[in-house]
Amino acid sequence: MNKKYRFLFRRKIALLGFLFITALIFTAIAAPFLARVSPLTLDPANKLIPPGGVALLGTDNFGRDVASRAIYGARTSLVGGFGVVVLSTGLGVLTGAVAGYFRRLEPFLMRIIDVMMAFPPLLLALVLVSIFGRGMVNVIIAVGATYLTRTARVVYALTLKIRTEPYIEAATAGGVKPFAIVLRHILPNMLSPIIVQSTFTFAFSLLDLAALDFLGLGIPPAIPSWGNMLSEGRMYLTRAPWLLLCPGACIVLTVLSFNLAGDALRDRLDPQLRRNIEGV
Amino acid sequence: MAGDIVSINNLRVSFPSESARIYPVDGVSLKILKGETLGLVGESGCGKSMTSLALMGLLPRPLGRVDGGEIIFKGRNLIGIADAEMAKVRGRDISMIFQDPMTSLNPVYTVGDQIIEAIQAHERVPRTEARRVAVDMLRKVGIPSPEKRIGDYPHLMSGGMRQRVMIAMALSLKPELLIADEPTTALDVTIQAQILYLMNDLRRDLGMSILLITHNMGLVAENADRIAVMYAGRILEEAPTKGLFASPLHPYSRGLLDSIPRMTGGGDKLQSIPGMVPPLNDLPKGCKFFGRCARSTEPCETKEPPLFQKGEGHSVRCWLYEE
Repeated sequence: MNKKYRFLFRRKIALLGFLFITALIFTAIAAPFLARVSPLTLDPANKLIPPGGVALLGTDNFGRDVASRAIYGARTSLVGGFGVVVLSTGLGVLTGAVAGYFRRLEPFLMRIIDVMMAFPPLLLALVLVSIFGRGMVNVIIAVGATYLTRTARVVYALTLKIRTEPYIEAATAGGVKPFAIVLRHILPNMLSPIIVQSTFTFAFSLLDLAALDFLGLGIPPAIPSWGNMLSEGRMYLTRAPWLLLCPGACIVLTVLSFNLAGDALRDRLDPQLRRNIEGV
Repeated sequence: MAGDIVSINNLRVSFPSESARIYPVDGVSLKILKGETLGLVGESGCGKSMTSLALMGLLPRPLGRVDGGEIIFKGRNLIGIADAEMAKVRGRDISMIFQDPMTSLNPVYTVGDQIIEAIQAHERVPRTEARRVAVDMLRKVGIPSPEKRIGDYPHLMSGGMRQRVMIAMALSLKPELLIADEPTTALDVTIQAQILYLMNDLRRDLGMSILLITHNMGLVAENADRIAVMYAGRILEEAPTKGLFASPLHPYSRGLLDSIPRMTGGGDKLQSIPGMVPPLNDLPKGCKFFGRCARSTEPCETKEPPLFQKGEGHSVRCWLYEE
C-alpha cells in the first residue's frame, strides 16, 4: 500500500466517509442507468406505495419513484455543493489573499466581508434568493456568498502569516513581482487549509441548500432534490414516512461523510496534529 | 569617484514609535567600489540591516521610510523610483542573500523551480534555457550532481546546501552588487568558511561587489577589503581592513576588537564594552557612544563629532581625532 494513502485505513470511519462520497459521485454520474424510471414520471395509479412493492423505496403522492428521485437528487446536491465550494473558495481566496498581501486594500475588502458576516448565513441566503429568484444558479450564488466570508477570513489570516516568511522576502528580493508572489509563493503554502475548509464548506452548504429547498426558496419543485423531497413529503409524515426518511438519510449520510473526510484530511494535512496522532 | 558601484549619501531611514519617529539609520554615507567587498559591522539594532533593506527598496512598508539622502546606483538615484522599476533592479542588478537559509526557500517548490523563477522574472528566456543556467549555477556553487539536485525540494537539503542554492539564485543573473546579510550566522563554522570562500571566488569570477553585513569581526577580517563600523544608525569608523585591525581609532571599534576571544595568551577574562546600546528614542545628545566610552571628553556629551579623515581612506567619528 502506498504510504500516502495509508492514513485512510488508519481511521476506518474516515474510510467509510470517503467510500460513501465516491459511491455518491458514481451514483450522480450514472443516475440515468441506476434509476428504474425517470424521476419525473407520474404514475397516479401507484401513489404512496410503501417501499418494497412496485418501487424499491416506495412512491410519493404523485406516484413518482422515490429511489429515482433520490438518485437524481444526489446530482442536484453534488452540483449545488460543488458550485458553492467553487464560488466561495474562488472568491474567498482571491479576496483574502489580496487583502492580506496588498494591505492598502485591506480596510475596504475586509469591511465588506465583515458586513456580510454580520448577517446570519441562512438569512443572507434567503434575502439574496428572494431578490434574484429561485433556480440552481441563484441558489448557488446565495449560499456561496455566505461561505465566501469564512474562506476569505481564513485565507486573510494565513496570508498575513505567510507574507512575513523569509522565503517571501527572498522572492521579493529576487525581483518577483507582487502578483506572482501571491499566486506562486503564498497560495501554494496554504493549499491544505483551503482544501480542508472546502470539504467543510461542502458539507455545510448541502444543509443550507436543502434548507432553502425545504422552505420553498431553493430549486424549483419539478427538479428532484433532497430538500424538495423533504418539503413535499412532510405533508404525508404519518401516512408515508419513507418520503421523509429516504431524503433525510441521504442528507445526513452525505454531510456526515464530508465531515469525516474533512476531519481525516485535516489530521493528515496539518503537520502538527499529524505528529500527535502518529506519535501515540 | 569613478570606480564605485553604489554610493549612499546621507541616508536616513525612519520608523514611527510611540512618541516621535526614530531613526535606525541616520546620515549614513557609504561607497562600494567595483569588485570589492565592503564589510558593514555592528551589533544588533545598529541599523546595518535597515541600510541594506533601504538599498533594496524593501523597507517594511508602510512603517519604514527613507527620510532623506540618496542611493546612487550606476548614476541613478534609487530613492523614489517607481516600484516596478525597483523590481527590475532587484535580483538583476542588486541581489541579496539572507541570514537563515532554512526558511529562505519556499518549501512547496523544488530549488530548481525557484532559481528558474528568479531568472525568468528578469529575462525572457525559455524554460529549458533558464534550467540550463540554473544547473550551471548549482554546479558553480559546488552542489554535487546538479542535474539531479535541481529537482530536490528544500527540505531534502542541509543548511549549507540551501545557502549555496540561495547564492546560486542570487547570482544567476550576474548582479553587480550582492548584499549578504549575515549569510553564515545560521551555519556551523566549517560550512561558514566554505560559503565565504565560495562567495569570494564568485566575486572574482563575476567581477561583482559584495556588501557583507555581519556582527562577526573575524568574518570581515578575512573577507572584506574595507570595513565600516556602524553604531546607533551612524558610521563611526571606516577604514581598509588592514588599517582597522592594525590601528582601530574609534574607542568603539577598539572595544569590538578587544572583545574577540584570542587563541594565544592565557585564560584572561574576555574584555567587553560596558553598558548597553541606548534605545533609539533615547540617544545621547552628542556622540552616540557617550556613556559607554572610557575616553570621553568634554565636547562628547553635547556635540556629535563629524567624520575626521585620518590617513588614506580611514575616517573616524570621534573628537579624539580632531585636528
